[in-house]
Amino acid sequence: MATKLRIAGAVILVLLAAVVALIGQPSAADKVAFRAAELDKQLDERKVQIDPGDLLRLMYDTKVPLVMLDVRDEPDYNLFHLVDSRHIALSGIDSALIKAPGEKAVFVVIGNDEQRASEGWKLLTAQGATNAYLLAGGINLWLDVFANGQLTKPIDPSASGDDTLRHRFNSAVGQLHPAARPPIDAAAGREFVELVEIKEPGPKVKGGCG
Amino acid sequence: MDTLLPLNIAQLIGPVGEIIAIIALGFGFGFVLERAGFGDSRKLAAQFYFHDMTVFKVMFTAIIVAMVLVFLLCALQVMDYERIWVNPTYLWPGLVGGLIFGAGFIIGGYCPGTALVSAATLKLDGLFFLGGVLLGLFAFGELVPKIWQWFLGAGALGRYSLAQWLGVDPGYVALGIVVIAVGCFVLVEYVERMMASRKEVR
Amino acid sequence: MARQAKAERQPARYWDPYLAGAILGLVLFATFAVTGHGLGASGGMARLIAAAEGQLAPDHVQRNPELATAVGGAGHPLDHWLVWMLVGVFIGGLVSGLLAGRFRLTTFHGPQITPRSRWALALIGGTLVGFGARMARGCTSGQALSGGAVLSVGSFVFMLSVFAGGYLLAYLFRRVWN
Repeated sequence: MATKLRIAGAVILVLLAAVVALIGQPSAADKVAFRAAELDKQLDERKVQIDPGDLLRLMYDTKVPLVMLDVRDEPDYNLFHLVDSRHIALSGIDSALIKAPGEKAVFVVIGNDEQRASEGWKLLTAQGATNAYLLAGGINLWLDVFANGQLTKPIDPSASGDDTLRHRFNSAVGQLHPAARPPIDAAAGREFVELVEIKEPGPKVKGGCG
Repeated sequence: MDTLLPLNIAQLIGPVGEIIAIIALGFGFGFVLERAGFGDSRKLAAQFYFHDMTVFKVMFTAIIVAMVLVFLLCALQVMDYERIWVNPTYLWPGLVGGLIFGAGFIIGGYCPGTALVSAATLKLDGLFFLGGVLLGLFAFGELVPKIWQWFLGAGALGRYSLAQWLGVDPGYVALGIVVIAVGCFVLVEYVERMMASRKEVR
Repeated sequence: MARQAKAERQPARYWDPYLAGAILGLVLFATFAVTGHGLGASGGMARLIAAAEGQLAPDHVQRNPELATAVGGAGHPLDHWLVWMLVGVFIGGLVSGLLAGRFRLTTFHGPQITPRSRWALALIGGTLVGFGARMARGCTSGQALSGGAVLSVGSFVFMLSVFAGGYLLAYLFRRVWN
């Protein structure tokens, strides 16, 4: 009797493990889908799209561990990108990337407009980033504000854009362009809402025998 | 909205509720340890002479049951693996500490949890062992951080799972471990019977 | 003497190891589900030591990074889940022993050694275990069991290492147990 029960238990465990393997652990896309409603709501209410002025402020705030993720295609990144921003494909956004800079890191996803950046923001947030934002209007608005003299140009949520770089560069200047890191007071005449507030990560669970 | 599990227990039922929950879970742990026979050092030590492989059976059954449940719920998005504490890997301290631990296990006959259960049921060897554990923890706290600080971080890989190491889905790793464990159980039953018959012959 | 030995050994009352293992697995899983971490034993004991040292020699503790992390931070050093878990384990073992009729003053030892030498060996073994557990950042519960169930590489290294250490020395200490 005992032997039969043991065999039954072993068979059940093996089958369950096989089921787990077949289902597979949720992919990044699964996690986004799981939280789609809540993520879309935050995007629609524009709670996470930060103004260029707000990002400039963060770039100079030494207390904020800022991680700028540039999700545009590599040619665009080579033409122009913000100082210290890191080029990454959407597929490269995983939990290892999120955990590396520490729990209080502020992520800002940067695209040409907002579409791809929104996808990147979803991937970050669904995979556990506590403080993730995206650059409102993308690089296109950034350059209008800081390079083309349209300092007060507002964010226009209705103009979704087609995620192409609308500015022409004669050569790939990368981060050598003056607008790649405008001076600290460059946004002095611009009105914007400071959206970024650093949320504490959830209660810290620490296990082991430490 | 986060996944349902792990529960944010302190927020749900308050700090006192959390303490009660943890004491209850510890109660279950201690109760099972005692019922499995782990309050008896001779039963634990017999593991190393192949007479009684209870330690191996209990430990690995517990690991595979918990493992399959954890990864099943994670696969169903009821639980979030990222919010589960995974002991960070420190290869060299783990290896050397494990060897010292194993040596202490065979000499003293317990590990910290089982010694506590043994002492709770008035076993004096368990009580002495527990005293030793406290002494060892004290000695480590006093000696090592000053002398061997560098060693404690040797081979640090952070949060690093077998699935990451092998580059496959955790489900397949779990399946592999369950199959290996069941195979080992069959082998261990055979070894036990062999040892018992050898004893009778003598 | 013979009667005493008979009363001590009640193998019939121990659970089937696989059943005990399955229930332990459920307890471990429940701990993960409720708290997000696994079980632990030696960590709580380390906190007891650190707290005691903090009472006796506060300055000394503050200068020692290993101890300061345990004692430092907000709240009392003993107000930590590891310590509460110890309380639970103790009560659980006690209740189970009482119910099973195993709550009695005795010393388990091999047939070839006296209780007194068993005590000495238990003290020495315990010291090594405490030392090793702190070095490996966990014991059989916190590292092997809990880390093993969530596939931590380090936990499996520790587990293999513990069994290796035990089996390597088993022959040397065979008279202690057989």
